[in-house]
Amino acid sequence: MRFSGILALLLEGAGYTLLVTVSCVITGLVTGLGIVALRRLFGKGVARLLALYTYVFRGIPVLVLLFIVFFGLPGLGIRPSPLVSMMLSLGLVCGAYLAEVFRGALDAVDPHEIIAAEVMGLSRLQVILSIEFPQMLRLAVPGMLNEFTTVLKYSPFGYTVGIPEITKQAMALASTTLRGIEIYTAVGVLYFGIYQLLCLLMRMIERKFRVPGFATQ
Amino acid sequence: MALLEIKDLVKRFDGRTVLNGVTFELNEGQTKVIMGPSGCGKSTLLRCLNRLLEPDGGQIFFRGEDVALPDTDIRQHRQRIGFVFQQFALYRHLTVLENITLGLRKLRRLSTAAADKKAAYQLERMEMGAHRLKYPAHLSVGQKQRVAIARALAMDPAVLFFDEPTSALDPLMSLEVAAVINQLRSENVTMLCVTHDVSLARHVTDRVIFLDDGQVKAEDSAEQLLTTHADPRIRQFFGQPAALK
Amino acid sequence: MKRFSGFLCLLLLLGAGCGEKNEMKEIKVAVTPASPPNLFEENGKTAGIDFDIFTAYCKARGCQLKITPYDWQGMLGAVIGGQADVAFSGISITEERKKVMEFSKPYMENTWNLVSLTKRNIKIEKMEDLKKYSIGYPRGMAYTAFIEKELQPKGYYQIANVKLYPSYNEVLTDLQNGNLDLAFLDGTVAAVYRKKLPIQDSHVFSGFDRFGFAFPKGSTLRVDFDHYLDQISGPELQAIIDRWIK
Repeated sequence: MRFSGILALLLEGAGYTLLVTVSCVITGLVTGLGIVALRRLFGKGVARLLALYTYVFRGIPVLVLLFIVFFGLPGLGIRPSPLVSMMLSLGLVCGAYLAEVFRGALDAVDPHEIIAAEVMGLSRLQVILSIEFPQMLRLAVPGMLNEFTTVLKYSPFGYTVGIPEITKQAMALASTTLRGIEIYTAVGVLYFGIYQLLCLLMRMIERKFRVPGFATQ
Repeated sequence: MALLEIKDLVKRFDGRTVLNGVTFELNEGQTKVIMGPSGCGKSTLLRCLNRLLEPDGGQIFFRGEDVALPDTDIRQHRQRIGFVFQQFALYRHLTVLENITLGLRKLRRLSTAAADKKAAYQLERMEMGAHRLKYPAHLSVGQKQRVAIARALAMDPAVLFFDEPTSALDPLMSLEVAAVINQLRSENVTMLCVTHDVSLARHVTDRVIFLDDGQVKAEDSAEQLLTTHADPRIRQFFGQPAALK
Repeated sequence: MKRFSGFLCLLLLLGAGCGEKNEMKEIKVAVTPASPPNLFEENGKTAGIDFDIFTAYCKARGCQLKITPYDWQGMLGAVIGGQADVAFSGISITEERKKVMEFSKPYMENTWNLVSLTKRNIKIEKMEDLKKYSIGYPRGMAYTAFIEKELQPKGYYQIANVKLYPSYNEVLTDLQNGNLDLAFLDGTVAAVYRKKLPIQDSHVFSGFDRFGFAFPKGSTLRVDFDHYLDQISGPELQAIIDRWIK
């Protein structure tokens, strides 16, 4: 098999890797932001429940959760598709970690500004959406990129539930061509490329929303 | 009729009584300054009036309506009060203009164009029109103060609260703030100002309330209270030795 | 195009119910395409002994295959969880696995070969020599039970000394790098790799391992497939196997 053919198959896998990563990152962002917002909106009881969620989901290995979701839930009559299974495992774990990243960033938002917004008559939700989240997200960029990278590195678990991402292509190709070194080097380059793509995307977003004089590390 | 009528206001923190039956009035168009030693409850009083803190007793009448009740629409009540913070509390991620339009858009439901127009007027009034696209980090302390006032005024409040407006400023800028407050006074803006700055009090008001031990100990014209009041403790506070009397 | 529509399926999060509805019965198949010669991919297309056997069965019964590649554990999980109707990729029939899935009748005898690099020329004459070497194989393979039941009680080898890898690729890479003395391979797998790598058998265990097609518990498909295996057993089955092992 020619190396160009190998590369074409790997690139096809890269598409799935990107799909898994982006889906899980979006799931993570939605849950992470949801957790932070709920914690700000409701009282101690809800906060304790959310703390339990982040505690548990940060503690369970992604693979175990994936097995529970993909192979376990069908026993209860729920049949999540492979991609949904990844979102419900890797995505939710990502959300738990992001919630912690956001919590740290939220602590850096000036409490006087929050009070000023409340005193103006804004509702809690309006304060969260207009003051807290915009500042928090800007402060959380480095931590978020960290989490996104972790998701990318966990995306090979997609193969366990039958998503033909890069790792699957690499293993299948290596077993027949025995050109493992070249194939895995190419895989490394591809992952690095995807990582750079994520970085670039984050930098573009960061630049668009940059506020002069606002503390960004 | 009084705009604000406060009766026997009580506030406790962990069993410590900070406000112990505060009573006073503020009429429409009037400017009053609340003074008193540190820890006398000045700032707590302001925060009770807009329900940022929950009073433990007493009544707050706003144009005759008690707003200290549990079923008071707090957000509605707050929108009638412009609050200028000691730390200014400008939103760091928004431009000067956006700082002012936020409330107009979210609370008054104005279109962006209408909000911008209204904000621009307030900025001109505070002589900050040229800075409207700057971010707070690039403003001087005095400029921040002006933006904070413009932000409060843009909502057309019934009354403006100032919490220690000069404590972060040098004496020259304090004079500037006094000038701004006087300008508003001449426009008949109702204001309540908490400060321990005697010179500010002298410059901006006709009535000074002296708060101590959580109670109104005296209310008089600035001149009377600051120089010739009968209570030696008050004279001492304002730096007038007892022997002078 | 087919690939593209498959991609769309994932995109739409459907997973099930994709593709054109067909009169023919669709059988969901789980495989691990890193198990030559039983199952692998040639230019991105599934191939191998197991694939040929099951394709022939499907042709005879008029059904369609929907193949999903998983990693080894995912493949077994898919059968247990019912995401797949059948799994095949040179799966050994073991007592452990029988507890959670059903196997067809064995279709292949398999030997278990301990291989070393030719230049190392390791020969295991006595079982007592075994403990001098490191042994490695992919995670989840049947060798673990074999070592625990057959070798460990007699003191020939401790399961704790085994090196586990994600797949045969890594096992053989480590063998070539000199980090591993002996690799446990299926006889079939060993036959494939012997053609491409300088390896030799150090010891061959036989009579322990048979391959079967794996089905979920209570599968009616298994009953029918067993009938089919009975029909083709003998020269017909051997011909398919020989096509891949010469």
